[in-house]
Amino acid sequence: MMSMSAIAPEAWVAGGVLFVVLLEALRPFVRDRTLAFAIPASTLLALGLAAMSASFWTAASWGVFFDGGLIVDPLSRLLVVSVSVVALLVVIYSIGDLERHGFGHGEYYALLLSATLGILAIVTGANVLVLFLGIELLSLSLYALVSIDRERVIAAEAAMKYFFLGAIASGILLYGLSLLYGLSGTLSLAMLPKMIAGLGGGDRVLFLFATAFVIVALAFKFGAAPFHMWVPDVYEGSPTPITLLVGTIPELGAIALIMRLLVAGLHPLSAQWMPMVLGVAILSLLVGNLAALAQSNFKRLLAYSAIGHVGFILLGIATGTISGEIAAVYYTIIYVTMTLLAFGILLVLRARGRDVEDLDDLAGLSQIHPWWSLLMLFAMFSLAGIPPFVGFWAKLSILRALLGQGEVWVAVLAVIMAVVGAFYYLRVVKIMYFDRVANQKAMSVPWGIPELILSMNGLALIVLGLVPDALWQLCAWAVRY
Amino acid sequence: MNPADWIEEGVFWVFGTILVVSAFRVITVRHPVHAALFLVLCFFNTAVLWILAGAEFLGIILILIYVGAVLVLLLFVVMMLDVEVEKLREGFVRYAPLGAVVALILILELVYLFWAHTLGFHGLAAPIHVLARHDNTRALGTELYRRDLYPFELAGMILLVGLIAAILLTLRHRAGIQSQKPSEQVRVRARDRVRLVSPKPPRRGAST
Repeated sequence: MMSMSAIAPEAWVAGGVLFVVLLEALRPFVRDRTLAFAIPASTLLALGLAAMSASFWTAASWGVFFDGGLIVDPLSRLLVVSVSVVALLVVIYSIGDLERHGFGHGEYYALLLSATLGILAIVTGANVLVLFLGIELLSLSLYALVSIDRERVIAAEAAMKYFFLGAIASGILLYGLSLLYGLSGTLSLAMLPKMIAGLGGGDRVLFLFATAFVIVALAFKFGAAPFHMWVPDVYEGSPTPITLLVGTIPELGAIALIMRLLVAGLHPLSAQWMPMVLGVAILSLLVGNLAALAQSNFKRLLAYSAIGHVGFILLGIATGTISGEIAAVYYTIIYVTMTLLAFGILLVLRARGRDVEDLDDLAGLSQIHPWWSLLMLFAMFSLAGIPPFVGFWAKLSILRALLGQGEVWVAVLAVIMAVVGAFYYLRVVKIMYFDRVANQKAMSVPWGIPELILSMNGLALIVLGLVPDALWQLCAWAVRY
Repeated sequence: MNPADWIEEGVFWVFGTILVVSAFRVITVRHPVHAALFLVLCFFNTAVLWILAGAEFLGIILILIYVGAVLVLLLFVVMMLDVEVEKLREGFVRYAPLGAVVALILILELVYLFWAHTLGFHGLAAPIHVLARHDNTRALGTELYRRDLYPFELAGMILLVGLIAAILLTLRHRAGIQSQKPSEQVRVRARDRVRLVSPKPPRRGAST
């Protein structure tokens, strides 16, 4: 029965998908209000149970299950809990907006759950086949979600771009993985390093070839430059609740993929792939931060900022040290918390009659919505890496890992790019607090549970910033195992 | 040669000949529906050859999926679209050189393959005769449902997502469309549709 507890998170989420589809099928016979309650409630329940069942894993649960398909270790425990909780928050923040704009039907919840299931499969994947299936499950759900608002041309364009580029990336990944399989004769991520280490000369070149393919595909899925073209379009084109989803949980899946496939599976080749990852990381830092300067659309700005942050995360991986890997996982979790807050506030503002698309739509926000402006300020300061917010510690840990490896020039470049990034984050704050506009209409909407949780999310950035050690220890424990 | 080999040889030649002839007919018959039907014959004979080679699962799958589903779909499309046959034949002369080049490359590859084989290249060994009791279907089933159960279930979820996404992107509820509602048709009662009235004889003089 050990394998039942190992697969429990995936089982709950998969059960959630099926249950939501069943509920949706009852639509002709049940009142809409009943379904509008039952579908989100069962989604939340499935995600909550997934998080709970993973948090009950103890040292006795570690192991590999389903004939090397599924691994339960501290890293999977940390990431399964984070993914489930983040998905839970995404649903809580989005419910109201989805209902108002008519996307609140079962499809959204079913696809959100299946995307989460894909990420869970990646996070706990111990086998290349499972990783690939997880990526496909995640990607296919996201393509459909991006085009959920099918009347909007810009959404259809974003979905098409995402789909075609994503399909090419999947093909490249599959080609790389098939080369790996052909060379090593194993799909298991535990066996792969041993097989690579046992080979010499000519086959190593082929392994390198396969690794390059894998890195290209991973960079695409993570949204790292020069494979970032889809990110701004998808962020801008999707409805805000979908952007919130696309910008958060897949990042956790991407870091899990890198940790499992690159860091663990291709460990013997690390001397060869480190320069490639470093190149992608530096390019992402440059492209993300410099292109963000020129953006006038807020969602595009956050998209380029996402590319810049991915650059930072990949720098941690590129050091090839344990501390760099811990820093990368730590940075990803913190980045996701900050992104949740920023997009959550956009949704709250939308509910109050202020649809933020351009940066200028934020003008004078502090006069009408002082609290939400303050929280947005928290998010921006934290993304910029200003103490005492937690984003500072994330950046610091990456820089520390770089300096530990003697990569002074890369660290200097990263700091310069962080300063460039600070400029546009501060510009958002300046527009909110110092730009004035005439005829502002305030719309007071009573607070609900989403607003309360969002505020706690904002305060968490300060609390984690003041007590950064607990999360760091958790990540260190997860990665070191 | 023992009698069993004779039978096998005979089956191979009979079905192989039909296969080659029908494949040739696929590209030479005038009518696209006939071509599709020859393709069915082609697949059927290929399936027999595969079963003969010991790959009985592939043979069954070929008939079930290609003959049963793909070609039926193709036939429907051909019938619905009303393809203009003459137009399809227009470019024959123009594309013939390209076709010849492709055919030449394929022939060279085949020759190279056989030549490499005679040189003692054993990368492509001939299929060994396995025991009659050996069962591909069972072996695949055990692999899929026992060892690879977890990836198999994940693949099932991917298919479900494809289904949901297709419905999400294409289903539109438009008003005023004449469509069948099977559940209503099943639940209907006689009294909903048939009203029994007792006709009264028209009063004399009231009509006309």
